[in-house]
Amino acid sequence: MSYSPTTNANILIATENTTDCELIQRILIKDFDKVFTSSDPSLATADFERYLPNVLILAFNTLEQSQRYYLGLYRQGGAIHLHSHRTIALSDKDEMQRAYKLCLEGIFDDYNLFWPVSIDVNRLAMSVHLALRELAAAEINTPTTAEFATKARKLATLENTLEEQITKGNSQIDKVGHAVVQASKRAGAALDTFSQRLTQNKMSEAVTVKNADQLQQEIGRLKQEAVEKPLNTFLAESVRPLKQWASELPKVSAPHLESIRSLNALTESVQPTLLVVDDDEFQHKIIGAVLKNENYHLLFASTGLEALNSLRKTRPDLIMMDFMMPGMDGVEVVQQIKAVPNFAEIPILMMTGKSDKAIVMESLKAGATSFIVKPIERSILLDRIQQILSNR
Amino acid sequence: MSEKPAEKQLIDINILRELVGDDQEVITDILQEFLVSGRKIATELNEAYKATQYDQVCITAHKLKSSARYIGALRLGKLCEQIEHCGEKGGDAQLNELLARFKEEMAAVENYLAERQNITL
Repeated sequence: MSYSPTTNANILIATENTTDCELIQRILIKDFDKVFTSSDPSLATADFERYLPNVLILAFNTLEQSQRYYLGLYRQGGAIHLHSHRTIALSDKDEMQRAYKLCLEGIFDDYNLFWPVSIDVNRLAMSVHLALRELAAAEINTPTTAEFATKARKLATLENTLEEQITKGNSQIDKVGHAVVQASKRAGAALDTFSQRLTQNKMSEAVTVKNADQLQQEIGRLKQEAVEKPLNTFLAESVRPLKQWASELPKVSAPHLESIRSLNALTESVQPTLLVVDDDEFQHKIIGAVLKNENYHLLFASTGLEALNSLRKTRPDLIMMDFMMPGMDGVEVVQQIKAVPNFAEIPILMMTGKSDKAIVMESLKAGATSFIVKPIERSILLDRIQQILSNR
Repeated sequence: MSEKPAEKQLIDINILRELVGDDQEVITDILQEFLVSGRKIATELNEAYKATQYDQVCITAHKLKSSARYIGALRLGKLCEQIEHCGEKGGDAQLNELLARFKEEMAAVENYLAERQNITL
């Protein structure tokens, strides 16, 4: 893959310290053409949306400030959810261990020891280069197997739908044929009655019949021309071809349905991905143990921010979300996810230790698909996951 | 393995077995994790109480309540639930008494688990 260090990449430095800001800009401008700064916290979201950075450098005095700033971007802006980017947090030597941990947790993508300024002045630029390479690689990635599997599972429902529709169609065609035959019979009977009344001179005030046989012959001809012939034509040219088309449809679509069945069989080997969002590591352990022997690929996030970051990298088939979490609570994270069109269709199962109605209603109103009360029961959890995944 | 009478009072391990299955390695791993995370949460709970941060008392008690119930420490779970409710009301004299009982119960659960883990391991 070719890679140019002076691509059109946008780099945004977010900081409250103008001196640091100038220093970082001087370091990066040697390699990158578009290095912007954002130093007014009230304009954080506006600056992000204006520059849409490929790499966001968080250069705050503490990692807590960096975390707060980044969380604020998720809370206030819609652009950050959709815009592919990487985040590098600058750290001082006392917070390096914490920076490492936050990157492992997926809060930031990378960190850089910046205070005191290292003798390796190129280190930060190198981190930006690597982040851009990673982004470029991610962008040329083809759709994942899991994404194909999701679509294939949806296709699998086509066979049943088709069968149902054919049965329904056949029934409608029969009804139409029957209604037309009945209408013709009624028209024929009405003509017969009319003919009898005339020949029996029951309408002598209006008509006098001189030759009853001739009249009956004429009416018989009329009946055949106006009722029986059109009926036979309709049955032969409309109803029968329709019936034939409906009966041939399963045969014509059989090879395609066979492909769908094969495709669906292949999806059995693709593990659906479940993202578990809970700040309690013990819950991760429990859910991991319950689902250990099930055919699921599990991802874990401990905060809402970590979950949102994770979504930019992997699209899960189901999100299992705790309600009570520090920072953003579960409902707020659901709202953030549902506000992004690309993620809105991902089903979310709320897990709450509190079964009170208000929380359940709030979760469902935010867009959660269903909820489960903690402590979870094995069979209920397995059934609920299965039910949600099969309804996608 | 037959359970001791004390185990039945403190922890009904069958609750955890029903949840995660009979794999002894998994059960040991979960109990070990409870020892670590339970201790941490219990410390946070006591610190929150000392600092009269009753909302934090609620959050930590709530968290430990679920974990305790998962491992079958139902009495500990019940105490956590009572502490959570007390904390929601802003804390009162009963909270002090509940926390004292909680400390005793937590210590007993920890001792039991530490002993059990050593035996199993």
